[in-house]
Amino acid sequence: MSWAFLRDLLSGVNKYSTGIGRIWVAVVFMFRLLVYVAAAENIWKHEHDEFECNIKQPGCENVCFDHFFPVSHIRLWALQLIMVSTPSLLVVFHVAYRENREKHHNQKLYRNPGKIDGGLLCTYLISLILKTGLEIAFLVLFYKLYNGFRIPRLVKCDIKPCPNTVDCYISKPTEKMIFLYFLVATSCLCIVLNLSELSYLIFKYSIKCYLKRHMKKQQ
Amino acid sequence: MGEWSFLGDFLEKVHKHSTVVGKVWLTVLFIFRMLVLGTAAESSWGDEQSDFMCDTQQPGCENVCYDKAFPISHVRFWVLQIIFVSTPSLVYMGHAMHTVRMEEKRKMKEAELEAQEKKNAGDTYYQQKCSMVEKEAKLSGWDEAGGQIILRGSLLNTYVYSILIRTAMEVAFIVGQYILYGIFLETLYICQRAPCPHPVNCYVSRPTEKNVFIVFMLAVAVLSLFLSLAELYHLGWKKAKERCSRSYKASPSTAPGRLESAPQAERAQMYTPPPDFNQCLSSPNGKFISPFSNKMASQQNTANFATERVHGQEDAAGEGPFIKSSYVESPEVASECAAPAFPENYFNEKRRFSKASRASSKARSDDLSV
Repeated sequence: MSWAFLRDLLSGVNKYSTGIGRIWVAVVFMFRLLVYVAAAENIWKHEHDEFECNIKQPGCENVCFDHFFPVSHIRLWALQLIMVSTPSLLVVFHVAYRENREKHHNQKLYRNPGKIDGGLLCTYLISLILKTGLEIAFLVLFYKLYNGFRIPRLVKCDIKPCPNTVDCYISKPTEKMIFLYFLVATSCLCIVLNLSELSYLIFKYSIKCYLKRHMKKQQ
Repeated sequence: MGEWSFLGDFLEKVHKHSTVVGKVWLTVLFIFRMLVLGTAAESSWGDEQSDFMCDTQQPGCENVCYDKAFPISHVRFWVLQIIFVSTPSLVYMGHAMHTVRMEEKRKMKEAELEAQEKKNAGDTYYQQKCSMVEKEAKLSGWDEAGGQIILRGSLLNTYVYSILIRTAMEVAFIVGQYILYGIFLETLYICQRAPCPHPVNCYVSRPTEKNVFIVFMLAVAVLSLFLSLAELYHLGWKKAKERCSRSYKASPSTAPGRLESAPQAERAQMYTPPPDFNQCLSSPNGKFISPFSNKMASQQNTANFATERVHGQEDAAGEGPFIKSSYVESPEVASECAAPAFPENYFNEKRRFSKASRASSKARSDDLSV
């Protein structure tokens, strides 16, 4: 699985971010992407093969696994990483649009196409709101899908063709739980970073606006 | 192994701006930990669960016994260890980059302000000068132009804290590994957990090979810990020595230095006195050690060299024999549209005055200067 594309994308985003935005990118790289690629993927690699039910009935293990893991944790984790990184692209596109416009009109339309003001500020704020929203959505999804963030050692399954209530054993539940908590903790950290960046930007630019208006009134 | 390139790229930058011991630590991290983990250890632990055999036919018993024996696999534990141990260096790097950016912004703003003033005055000569100054402010990016980050004040504190936290993390992970698994892995693990009907013999796959890697990774962790402690000692000892020499030499010779820098007092107060480091004695950007005995001569040079520029640091002269000095701009120069560009051979001339550079030839030019 090649995540280099996402990495290069986010490096581009870094250029047009505030200080907190850069911290967010570092957290996403180090604590989420790297942990996913270097550690978490291997834990869930053989989860189906290692899922064992106390029954010889063919097909019972399959249906039980499917019932308890409609979407595997690791796939949700990957989806979350992708979805949460994508809104930052809006900012990159907007800056590219500005630069394109300047080229097209052959004159300097913006003092600095990469500076966060005016329309770019709106785009940036929208991307922050989207990122936060998606993080919260995925956390809620994880919670609802797996009844909390626990991974039990033993699950009981009585779906056809299992003839009776069957004990099924999940592999590496402790290790999976450790990394699940890690995922939740880093998600929450990213939500906090996004919210603080949002409030910082809103505060900064409302002060700026207020001062401008104040000076205009004085004049 | 490709996954570690994420971290590797970040740490390359840290490598550029580290002390000598820091560079050795990073090399140890790259080669002996990341590389070994990515190539050898991963394949050794590849079949850890599939070849974990228990002497029972009870379905589910192997699963629960493996989970009990290995709550977290060694390989994942080491991955987390590497990530947590590298993070403080990245925090330091972030701070350093932030400082560089702020410094550049400040210089550009100064240059802009001066250009504005002169523009209003309609003085084209000064406009040219100012535009040159502006260009120079852009070029003074410390890492891009081959310059160095100078460790002092809050940046030095961040560096020290990052090493402290790194040391704490190493200790925590070494202790954690000992608590979880002891030192060596046993071949046989006796497991009693539902649904195993009785205590069951379980056999770990490749225990000897795993033990070799466990001992290796433990040794490398201890080595890294030792290097971190050595770096702390080195920083602390130098700082203490510098303080001693400064308090001993709290002498009249420092008074002129203070007088000259009085207008810079505000700026000076922002920064703590730099510790002494004799690591980087000659550098690409021309900062050099001013031996104490040369202080008076160098102050003369400050006045003579109209090209001296303030780097926003307080007077380094008079701080002791081992400080990298960047001269404080004399007040008269500051009032004009500042300094013109450095002359072509500025850096070479600077090096001539450094006596201390003869003392040590071992430090490399791209080492971090403190």
